Amino acid sequence: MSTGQNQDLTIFKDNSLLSDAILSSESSLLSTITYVQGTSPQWLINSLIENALQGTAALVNNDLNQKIRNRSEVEFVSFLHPLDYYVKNCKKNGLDLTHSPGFTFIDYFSQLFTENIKDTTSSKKEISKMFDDITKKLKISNNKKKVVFIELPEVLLQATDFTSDGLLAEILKVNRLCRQLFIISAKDHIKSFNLDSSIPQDPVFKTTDFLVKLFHRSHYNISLSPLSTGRASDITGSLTISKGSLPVDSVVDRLVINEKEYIYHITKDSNIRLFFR
Amino acid sequence: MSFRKRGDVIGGTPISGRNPGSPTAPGSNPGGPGRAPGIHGGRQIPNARVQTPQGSIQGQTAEDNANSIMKNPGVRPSLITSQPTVSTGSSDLDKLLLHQGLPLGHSLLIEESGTTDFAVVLLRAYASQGVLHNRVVKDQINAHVIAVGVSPQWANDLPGLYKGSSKEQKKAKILANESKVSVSNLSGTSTAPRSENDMKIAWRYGINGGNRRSESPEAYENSTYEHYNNQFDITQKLTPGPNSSDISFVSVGSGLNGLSHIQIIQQIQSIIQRQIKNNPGIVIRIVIPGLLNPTTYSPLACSPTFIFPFVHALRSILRQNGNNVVLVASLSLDLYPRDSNLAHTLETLIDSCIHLQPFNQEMSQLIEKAYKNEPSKIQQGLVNIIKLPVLSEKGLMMVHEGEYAFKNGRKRFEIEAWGIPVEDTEKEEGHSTMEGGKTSKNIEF
Repeated sequence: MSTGQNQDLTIFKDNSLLSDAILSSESSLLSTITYVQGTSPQWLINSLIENALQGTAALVNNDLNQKIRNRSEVEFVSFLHPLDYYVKNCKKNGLDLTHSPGFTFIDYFSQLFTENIKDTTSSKKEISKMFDDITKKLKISNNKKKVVFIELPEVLLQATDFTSDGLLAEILKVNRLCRQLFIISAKDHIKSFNLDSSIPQDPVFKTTDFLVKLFHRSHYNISLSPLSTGRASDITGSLTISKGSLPVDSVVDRLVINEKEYIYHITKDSNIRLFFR
Repeated sequence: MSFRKRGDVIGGTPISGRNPGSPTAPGSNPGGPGRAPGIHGGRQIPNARVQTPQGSIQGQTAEDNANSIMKNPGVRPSLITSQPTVSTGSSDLDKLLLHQGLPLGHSLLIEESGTTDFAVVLLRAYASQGVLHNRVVKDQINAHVIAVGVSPQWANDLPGLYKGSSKEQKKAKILANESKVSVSNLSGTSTAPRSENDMKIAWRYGINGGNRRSESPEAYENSTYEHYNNQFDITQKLTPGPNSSDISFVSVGSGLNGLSHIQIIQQIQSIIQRQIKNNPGIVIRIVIPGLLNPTTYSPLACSPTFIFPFVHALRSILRQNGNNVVLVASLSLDLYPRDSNLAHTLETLIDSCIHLQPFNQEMSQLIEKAYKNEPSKIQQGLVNIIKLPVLSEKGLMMVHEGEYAFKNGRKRFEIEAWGIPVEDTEKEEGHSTMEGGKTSKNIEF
């Protein structure tokens, strides 16, 4: 693979990652980024943050090289990492998130189960309050070009008595207040995503129910998985961009999803190479 | 006139007064904890840090904290990311993690299939390593171990330093005795040749040490970070055992009255805060042997509303104290299989994960047969890598299954590349000709 030609990552047929058409529209798109063990999408998240904030995507698309000041506002809600982690990782993309006015981080990691949710067996009120805080922060700014990321929200389903429908309802409230919402979830088959599970209190059932309903509500989905043929030293995994259940062109005119499958390779110094499959 | 036994040391200190934890023996790392206080080459260890006044600690920034941790003799920069890294107590596991240890602020989960408990060997070495770092310089606390969910008796079985083979130990003992001023030594024909002889031995050993250092890069590394890791002997106990400044125990409650995850986290947090307040450059090693083992944990602890918030909060503690705290835990896969949601969620929340997979009986027999003349080569199981610190989170594919094997010996827990052993049956049959006949001697053509 090392001799093959690198490809630029695009999500839409207008050769963009986050299209201007979405940011300038009045509609709200919902997308999922799912991954399994060994194919963490951190590099993709960093590139999407970079593209949302300044229009470039230095590591995955060479054509997107024109910086646009304050392209959109990014609100990042994480249940898995503190702010430092994203600040450190985005440096490779040429971003300084600590001094970026368009970037807001909501830390639901550091004190999630010590302050935010004290009673995991009766957590509905506390979780609703957390999502209310997210919507309040989104309403503060008048800028309508907002992109929101929520990383690992299913931890709420795994660790508390909160239901999948309740979480979905809260997420859709957030979605209405932004142009694009990305839900980042781990989707390991059988372990956390099993369509045969049937006990409503089982975290596997709740996670599966949440993801399946999310896929039915999404406009496009990005999935990262390892090679089905086994481990390779020069390939990390494959990335698939597919249409969701809701058509994008029904909410944003003439915007078409570039349905493609890529294989990609990440080196230890975080350089990314993508190839068509 | 009084008589002394021939071997008695004249004017020597009584044996009971000797520090058992400070042997100078072959096999242990040069200048390891066995060194006498005050004698330490290589890196300078500032004593002032231990006695830092509280006021100045409060005023320290995170950056100062990061700088002070690099002065800790148990810390070195990661080979990949340059983050401060500590040894797991097993040099092979350190290499497997690619950072030459576990980066501070990160966690490792050791999963194990079957009814064996090899994981506890690694966990005890990890804890022992922390205790030994406190013995580098007398009265200097460099590390603290927090053992969660085990009784204080658990610490009684921490492994001691590897002192070399029995032959090497005997030689060292003889040398030590000869170097002392005793009646038998003094009664020699001439004192000058004896002392000359001692010097020769010392010189020879010194030269050997010097040669070794210049020969292998590993030895050079050891000289740079000489106290970083030690070799442990699982048949020896750590003596003297750890005291309250070395190790703390956090109970998880027992029976049906288990503590809530918040109570356990608060206990851990208070110990960490106290230790860091006393010494900002300290390394705190959290060890959780047999996570969710029914013998220790309440049955309700397996509930997702306990274990996931507990592990999530531990992850949060690690990130908040990213320059001081590391965590290693073990999980039995017989109780919680890898296919289960519990193991999967733990793997998501933990930074690195390895899976010890002991061989089944058939495989063990095959290996024993193949290596019947070389029993030291017999491996006991596979080590699968599921996740590696930092790299897996960056998106690198770090899953390696069936590529490494382990063998647990007295000297160390070895991890090496795995290859299926080949059974050499032809050797036993002797030389056979094309026609099927046998020859007893080599034929020259």
